[in-house]
Amino acid sequence: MLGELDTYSLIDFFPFSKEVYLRLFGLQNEAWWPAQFIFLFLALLVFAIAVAPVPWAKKVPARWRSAVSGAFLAVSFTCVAVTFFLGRYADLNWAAPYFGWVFIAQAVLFALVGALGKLEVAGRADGARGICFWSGCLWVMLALFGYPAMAFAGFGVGGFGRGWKTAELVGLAPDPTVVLAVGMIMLLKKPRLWLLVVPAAWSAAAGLTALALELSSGFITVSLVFLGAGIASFQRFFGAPARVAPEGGA
Amino acid sequence: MSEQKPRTARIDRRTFLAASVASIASATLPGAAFADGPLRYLTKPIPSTGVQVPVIGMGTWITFNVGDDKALRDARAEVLRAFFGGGGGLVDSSPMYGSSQEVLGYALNKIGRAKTLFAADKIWTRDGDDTLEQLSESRAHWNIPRFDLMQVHNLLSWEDHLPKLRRLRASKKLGHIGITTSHGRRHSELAEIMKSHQLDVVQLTYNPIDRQVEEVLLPLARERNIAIIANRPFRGGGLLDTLQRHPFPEWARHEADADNWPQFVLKWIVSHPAVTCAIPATSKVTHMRENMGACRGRLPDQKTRAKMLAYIESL
Repeated sequence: MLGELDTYSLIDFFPFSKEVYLRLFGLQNEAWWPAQFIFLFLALLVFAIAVAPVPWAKKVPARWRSAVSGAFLAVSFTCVAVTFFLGRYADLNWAAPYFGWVFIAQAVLFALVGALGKLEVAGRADGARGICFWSGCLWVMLALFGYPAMAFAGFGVGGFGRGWKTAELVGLAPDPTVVLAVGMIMLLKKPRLWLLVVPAAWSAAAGLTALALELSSGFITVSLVFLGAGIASFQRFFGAPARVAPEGGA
Repeated sequence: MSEQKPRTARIDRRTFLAASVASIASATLPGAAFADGPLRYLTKPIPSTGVQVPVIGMGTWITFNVGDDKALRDARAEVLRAFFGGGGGLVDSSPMYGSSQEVLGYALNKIGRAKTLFAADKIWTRDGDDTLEQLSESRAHWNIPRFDLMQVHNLLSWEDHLPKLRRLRASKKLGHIGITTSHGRRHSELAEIMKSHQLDVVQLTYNPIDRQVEEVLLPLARERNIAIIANRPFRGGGLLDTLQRHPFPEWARHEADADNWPQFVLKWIVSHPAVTCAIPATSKVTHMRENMGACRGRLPDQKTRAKMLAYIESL
């Protein structure tokens, strides 16, 4: 179906209007209510376990923290793939299922890498490591609270009036889900840059969607993902070796 | 614009067919009309068969792709109702347009299938073995027994699809066959296909700004008895956005029976001797009613047409 790409223009990949695209998230939220709160609760729990800021989380072994992070990201990506890309969005855009399968592949990767203990979060540090760690925390919070806040404020549609019902949320919409993943990767002792390929690919698609539909929220996603990838790369190649959050605390 | 009574009456199939049959004898005359009681709707023939088609059709690109959103599906059904109520006939879609075909099927079921419906769709697959399967799926989405027109979308694998569509046309399982392009793509190849294959219809982009087709493709269509369907008449809405910043020329009301910019543009397009029909797309009932006004009154003659174009170019 993707043959003769030279005969297509950007708009051919977005055969729907801005109104329809935004209502998609409203329908998604309505259909999966109250899964939004379950995802939010689990995300905060996983984040707490990963960075171990509270005493009880510090008791979780590092390898288990990695597995829990991987499992949560895998579930989030799978849910977005199945309910959004292969479900509702596929009705509108023939290209959506391709991203659905890519997200499922990424979910498998997260699960495997997490189980192998490769998603160990670094402890707090100074210099490049510190910038990367705290930026990762910020990215996670933006994914969980920034995106709903943008919808609540009417931001992201080139004007006011979007409304909280069409909020894009982790586990149900791709943009906050990839930003969350990038944030989690930035927290790692050793950021696995190849895990950023799919989030970067989707963020590029989100940017093109934003361009085609005149939506500002897509530009925020592509900016966050590529800036996050840049910070993680800098830490990976130029940062001092990170100190892993020990069993006794970060 | 001639005086109009409220559009409560509907065109029935008998009237439509009677007008079609009568028009066969004068198939080369542009600007024919068929009557619906006191209302007269402008039609033009498909030259190869003489079948008359209302000069304003409806596209579904973007506008009818609303997924399973029931509120929006119902809203599109009302747009379709306004289309048929205004004398419309040809509805064009494609498997490429997401859920548009399904939404059309939903809307047709909801408002009742209009007897003037001229169902036009496209084959959009690279796989030459999928022609019939895709056609069958499209027909199921529309929930209709057969298509009046099936086109190869964007010239995609046309070498494989056209022979199969020709066989279906020969066995009366299809009304007409054609090929489409848009945005000015692949015009040279299209011209070669028009010269070497028996097509009933070619769909291409034509409006007062995109006029490259006037040089080769439109004259070739006349020479080869091929009907032209003009897509993107408003350049995706951009042309109207520009024009509506300028005063509407009052002379167009009595010289072209056009009351607003959409009608001005549409009448200019369909008054080209080679063009059978234009297919604007809209998601709003008010816009549809404006568009359908171009299906009534007179079409501008060539002198008025030149004046209309000069006015647009002067803005």
